[in-house]
Amino acid sequence: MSVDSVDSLEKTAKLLALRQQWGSKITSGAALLEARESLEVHWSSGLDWLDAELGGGLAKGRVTEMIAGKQSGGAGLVLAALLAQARQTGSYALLCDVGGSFSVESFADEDLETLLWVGCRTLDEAVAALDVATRDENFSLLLLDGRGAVTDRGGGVRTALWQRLAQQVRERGSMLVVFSGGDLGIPAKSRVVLERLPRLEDFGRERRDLLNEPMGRRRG
Amino acid sequence: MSVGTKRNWAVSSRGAAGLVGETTRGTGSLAYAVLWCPDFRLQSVVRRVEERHVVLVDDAKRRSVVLERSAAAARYGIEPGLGTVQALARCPRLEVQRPSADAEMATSRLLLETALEWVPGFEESEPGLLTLDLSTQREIDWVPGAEAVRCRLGAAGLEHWIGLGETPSLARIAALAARHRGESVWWLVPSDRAALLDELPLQLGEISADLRERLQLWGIGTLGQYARLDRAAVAARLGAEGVALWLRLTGRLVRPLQPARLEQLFVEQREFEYEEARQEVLALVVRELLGVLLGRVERSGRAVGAVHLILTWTGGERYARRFALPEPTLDEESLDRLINGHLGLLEMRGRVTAVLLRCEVVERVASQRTLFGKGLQDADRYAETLARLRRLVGAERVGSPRPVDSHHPGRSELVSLQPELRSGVGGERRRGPALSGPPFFRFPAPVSAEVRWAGGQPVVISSSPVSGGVIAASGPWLSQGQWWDQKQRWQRIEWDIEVDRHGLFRLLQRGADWCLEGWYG
Repeated sequence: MSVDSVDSLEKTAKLLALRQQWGSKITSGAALLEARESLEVHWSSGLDWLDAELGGGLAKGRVTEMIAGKQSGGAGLVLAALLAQARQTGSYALLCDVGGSFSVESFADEDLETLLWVGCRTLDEAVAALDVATRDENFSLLLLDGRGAVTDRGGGVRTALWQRLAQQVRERGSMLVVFSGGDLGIPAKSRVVLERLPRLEDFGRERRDLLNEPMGRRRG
Repeated sequence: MSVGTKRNWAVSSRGAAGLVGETTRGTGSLAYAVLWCPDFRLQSVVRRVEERHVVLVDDAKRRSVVLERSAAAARYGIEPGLGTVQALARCPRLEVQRPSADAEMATSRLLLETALEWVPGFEESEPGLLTLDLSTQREIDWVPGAEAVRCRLGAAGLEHWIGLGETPSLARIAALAARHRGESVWWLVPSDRAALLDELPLQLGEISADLRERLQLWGIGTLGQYARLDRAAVAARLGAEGVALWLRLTGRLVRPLQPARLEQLFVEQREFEYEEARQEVLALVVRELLGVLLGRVERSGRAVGAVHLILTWTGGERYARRFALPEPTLDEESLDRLINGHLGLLEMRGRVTAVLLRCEVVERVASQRTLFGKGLQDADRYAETLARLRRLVGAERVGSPRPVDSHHPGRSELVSLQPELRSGVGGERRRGPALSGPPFFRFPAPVSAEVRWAGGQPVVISSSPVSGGVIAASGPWLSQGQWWDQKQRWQRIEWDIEVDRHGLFRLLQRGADWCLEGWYG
């Protein structure tokens, strides 16, 4: 029997002894990851129905996708609620706006105080901007309005880039919310389909009343 | 160079420990030190001049003359103003040196840096003479501080003397006295001032020859004797110069120090002899230079407001960049990230032969967030992110959006994000009526639309984003502005339309045509 074999046997014996001694206290790496997943911390979105759908709010360190179709669907209302909530909690938000559709006059002035807007021409540019922003711990809420982007599987954005963003968000415990008009191939932890079609009579209703109405449901 | 051993104020050359008990006795008002390097220009060129027969000459003019001379040369009767030829005739072994601005700059930096290691506030009263404010130091630390200065300047071969006194003027007299007595540190203790001044000759008062002669004729031979004269009598008989000396000697002439200009301390340069400055080497050098500079800035009690980077390429071409910081900092990590991050993106047009860093120093920000206040966690990091985002998408497309004071829809501006939130967090909204309806979003450019009308209302719309029947419409909404300005005037006619199974859109008239401006959602 070679020396290596003896060493290997000794190691195995010691490992067995250790297992007998500590029993259930020894867990595998996969189990640790699973445990960490279960310890999700949530950030209230300020929308009761959305918090209920997401199990308490937006998960910190995760990507959440809001699928809203190209227009309408209620994505704008959710965006307004998230900006208001960020302001309320003193968090800074960064919005990557593909196509530059964001209209200042539709949002409360004070909610804009904590918002950094980045106007992006393409989805690729927005992802590159997020690659920069997700490394900055100043921004706990990162928003991507990609409704104007091409919807054929990410509009050319490689899956690896999305994975990279997701990793950076996870490392810093921030939240990335993507508003999409279709399947962008995002590795999102949660997906919510927004289905609310605004009506003309909504103009006569206060924003907070509109926000209280459920606008979508979680998918998957 | 020996050290004084005079009574309770003397400093032992064997160390300061035995002195501590004495120095703390009855010297409460002492607050200044003068660090003096005599013959500064000469010492800048030649170190350890005590026993060398050396002179500094000015031969720029037709007749070369002596500017400064060493003590050994003075023993041959060589004085400033003497012709160089005569000086050489008096002392055949005489070394002749010429002034060097670079050497003077280097020596001045050494002096300033040494002083900065002792106290944060001091005045460069004249070349080679610094007046230091000791009020920031505990009395017990004065002597160790002076000893540390002696060690550093002594190691550099600079002949120097240190005087301590309760006013800048008395500290200066003490420094002159130290040289006169051959003691490296001399302390003019306030409680024994009169007695100590009795031991100092009049020439240490730096008075005119005329006044000195008059005083000697009156039988006044020491500064102590002069200080005991009646002030009114001095004023009546000796005029302004006499009064000024009396005020200096009695400690009544106190002036604020003019802070030394320390800019020269906050510059560091490294040259690469073999032109081997690869990116990694450059990064390491930048980090090292930053460490040195930040140490100096910190000792000055200030912080860095901006950093200048100058790279010299082969051939002498230069690249310069100023990094303005969002707030003054001493964080080496942040500055290193900022500069080296920039270097990483910089296109190297050749080999770097030299790198220079210069810090702009500012007073530290004396602000503190309120207990419940919020703001950016790391302003430096934010500045870095902002710069990178601007490079990526363009500076005009990054910022915190704000509406402008105009009735024209869509008019907005981008401002800087506030590092501190102006108002409190949470609570009720502060201004304006409650928002109503869903928010509006614009298409990148208005999209032309074909609209069918019935009874003055749109009923069917056909466009690339949406087509279908209009099930409800609100309008027309007319608005106009700046009618007084032919070029700036505007007028709009809008309709809000609800398109069947598609949602709400804004229809905008453009001349005779219609277009979709955006959607609500």
